[in-house]
Amino acid sequence: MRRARPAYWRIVSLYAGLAFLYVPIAWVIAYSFSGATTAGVWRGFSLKWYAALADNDALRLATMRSLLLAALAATLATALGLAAGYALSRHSHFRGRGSLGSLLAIPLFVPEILIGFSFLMLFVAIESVTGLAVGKGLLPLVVGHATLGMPVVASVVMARLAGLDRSYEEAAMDLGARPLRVFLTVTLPLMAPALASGWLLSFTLSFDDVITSSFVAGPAFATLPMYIYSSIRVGVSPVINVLGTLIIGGVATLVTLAMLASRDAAGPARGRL
Amino acid sequence: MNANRPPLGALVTLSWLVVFVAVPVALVLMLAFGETADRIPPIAPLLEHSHGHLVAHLTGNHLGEVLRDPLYQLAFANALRNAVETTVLCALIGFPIAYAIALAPERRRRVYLLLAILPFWTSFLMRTYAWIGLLRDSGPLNQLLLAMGIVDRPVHILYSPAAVLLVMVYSYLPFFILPMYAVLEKLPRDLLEAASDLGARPAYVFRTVTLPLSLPGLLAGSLLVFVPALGEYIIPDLVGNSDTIMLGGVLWTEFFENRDWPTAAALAAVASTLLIVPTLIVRQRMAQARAGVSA
Amino acid sequence: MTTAQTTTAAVSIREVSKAFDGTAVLNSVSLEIRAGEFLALLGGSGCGKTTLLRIIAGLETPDQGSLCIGGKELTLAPPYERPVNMMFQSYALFPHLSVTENIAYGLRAAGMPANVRNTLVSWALKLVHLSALGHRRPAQLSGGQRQRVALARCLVKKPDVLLLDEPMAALDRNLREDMQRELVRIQREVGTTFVLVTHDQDEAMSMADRIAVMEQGKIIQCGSPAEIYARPESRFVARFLGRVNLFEGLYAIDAAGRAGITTAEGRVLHVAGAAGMDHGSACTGAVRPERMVLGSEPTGCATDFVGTVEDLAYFGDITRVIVRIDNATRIEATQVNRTGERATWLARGSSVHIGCEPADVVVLLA
Repeated sequence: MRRARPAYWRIVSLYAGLAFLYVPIAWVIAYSFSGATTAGVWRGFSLKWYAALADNDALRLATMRSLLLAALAATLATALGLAAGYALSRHSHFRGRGSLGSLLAIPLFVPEILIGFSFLMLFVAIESVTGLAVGKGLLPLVVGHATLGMPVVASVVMARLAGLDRSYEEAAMDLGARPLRVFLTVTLPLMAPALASGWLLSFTLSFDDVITSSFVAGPAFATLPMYIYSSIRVGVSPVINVLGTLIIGGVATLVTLAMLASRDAAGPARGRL
Repeated sequence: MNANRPPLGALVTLSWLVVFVAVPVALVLMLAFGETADRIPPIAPLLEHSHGHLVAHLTGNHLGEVLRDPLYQLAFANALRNAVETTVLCALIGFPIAYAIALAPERRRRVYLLLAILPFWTSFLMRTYAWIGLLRDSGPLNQLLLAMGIVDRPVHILYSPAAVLLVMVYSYLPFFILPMYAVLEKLPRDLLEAASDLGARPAYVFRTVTLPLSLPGLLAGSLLVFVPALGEYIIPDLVGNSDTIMLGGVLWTEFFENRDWPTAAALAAVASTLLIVPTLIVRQRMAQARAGVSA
Repeated sequence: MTTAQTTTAAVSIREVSKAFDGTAVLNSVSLEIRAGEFLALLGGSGCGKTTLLRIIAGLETPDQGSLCIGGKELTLAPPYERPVNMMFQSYALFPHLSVTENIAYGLRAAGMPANVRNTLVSWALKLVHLSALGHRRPAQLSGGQRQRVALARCLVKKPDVLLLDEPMAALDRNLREDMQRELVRIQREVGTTFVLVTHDQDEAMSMADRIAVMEQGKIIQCGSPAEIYARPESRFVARFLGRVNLFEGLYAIDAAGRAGITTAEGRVLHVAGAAGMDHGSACTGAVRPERMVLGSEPTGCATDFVGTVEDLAYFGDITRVIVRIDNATRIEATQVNRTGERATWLARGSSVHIGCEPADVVVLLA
């Protein structure tokens, strides 16, 4: 039998769609190599803006800060999300199960601007009750970003556990392993791909976050996205193109590697808000 | 048997969520009834000991103001219209893309899918920034239009409602494609073949088989676009103008610029109430659709 | 001859009941599993056989009743404290561990020193003929090899009882018979009590020493394959194990004192006298097709009907013949094909005699 040629509309929509998604990214990358002093103007290939970025101490500090914050928040979010996701998918009946599910859904379904606002209110309340100035610096940011990342990790974990045959864990128990050993030697290794992609998602979520950070951190502890955001408000600048190229390149590499490793291209759909 | 005792992991995470989600949200809702004060933080305590009496500083003024003030009404209307338009456009653009990926040969499907969702992982801020560069009066789009002689003077696209919509659709498109693809990919190919075998033309097959069966994906994708779009703040702020004042924007202004925390809280309270209703409806419809498909 | 074996129960299950979400799955099941025997739990899907197996393994807890393994009451003991191991239908080989690591898993969990562990793992690998593949991952094995690894992983623990949940379900048809023989060989070699869950009566018949037939959460008959086949106690068992002709009617004793079943059409099926059966009580006579005698002349059997050959199905070694006696009655007979050609009188549409002896009829209540 002759194979039907793919319909015209399919090729057009696919490639037009992909072009729509990639043209802006290509613009950022291409103009990071321009020698012009204003972004989006081409004056020959140059790496001078990369050199300028390397010399910018404020940006370097913000970058290190954001990387540290994202790594800490992602790790905490992964631990919490794993615990929540595991409890929800492996224990069908326990008191508080409904509340856990609903509370977990709030950060996913409520705009981040409300979440960020509410975090600040919490830290203000703690400060006014206890007098402890917890509301500034790295700690509240880690807590806030971890709370945003946790439901994402939990949903990845739950998706993975739903597809994971329970008989692996049963077999381990049957062979004499106690629950903790079963978890460490069977459940955890089998969930490694899901945990890696959950961690990565939380990392990018934190590394891209403006809103929660603006509420919680305050201008004294500016993260990289906060710095970028305030620069973009003013206009375009070649340094931002360079920064964008580095971020996009780094994240794309990590994500591609993780996806190829986990063979699970369908990451969970989750927004920044 | 202790079948009902929550496992340790559930206890820990539940406590975490109570402290860092439930309590903060409750605080914001309470604050909506609070009063401003000229201090740091700029709010009066809700309860205060004054001359041996416990005095409550509670007022419904802010909520009333938020509901009555035309500026806020306009912001709500803008946000709603923008979210609806974004969702509809994402569906119209995203459905054919998701369908084309789902119909692609198995090996290429993974590559296409990776390509379609990779932008969603990379910096959102950067992608918005890219559009500022592209849409500027001196940007590549205007240069192209000028060079082709379509316009004789740069079009002011940036800082307009159209720019907001464009960037919103761009940013949210992967959120629609992903769940849509997940459903379309599982659509049994033999159902479509059976329909055409029974004499249905492609358009009829699409309308009577593909579309009804992909409804759960359509709803899930729409929800994933609509809900965050309704509260979007950054895109209207960066590529919009005074006509694109939205929910997030007024909240941000009240909070950071006017330092009117109770009004910001009242806005937040109204906004979350508005959001909960469509979320619940769509989730319920999705559950029904799923039950209907599996039955 | 089997004095020690018949007196010790490896597993004794007493009045075990289990319900899932209000639906009863096991209904007061009692069963003694003898040490060293190969027992098959046979039944259709949803009869409760797998649940019973999982209760023995400790993966489910019974709502009521008790369970002793090796004389110890272990009804509520967790799976990791029971001297039983289970081979899962999917085999549940850990995909992230090699064959050797899979087999060593249970020994490691028991805290066994490395040198003892290695010796036992080599023994187990040899037992299932997989010594060369110890370094492979489960994904790199064939279906049959996976099954052997799963078996070795259980046997290396030297369990008192080995539980097998539909072990052949994931195998190709032509591999099944080999693996069935292999399992029986290994069971003889290690002498462990095997409990096999299956829905395939041929598998149960060919492998097991005893079969417990289950239906709707109950064990309805338990005995050796030959007993169950020859002396089914109910229509369900008669039909579930092999083919059978059923004659419904009323029990009657004629003037000459001969027992028979009179069908609604007035035919009489002569039976050997059945104890506890009264004249006029409703009953069913069950006759296996291979016990039916076919002929062009009267068969000379106590029961002899005349009918028309309605259908013939040739299977190489045997031919199945369907004979229509009247509009309501069709009888199946199995003819062994001893010579290359079929008897000329045996053709679709030809008139034949079909009969059976009283000893070949099993009388079932109702």
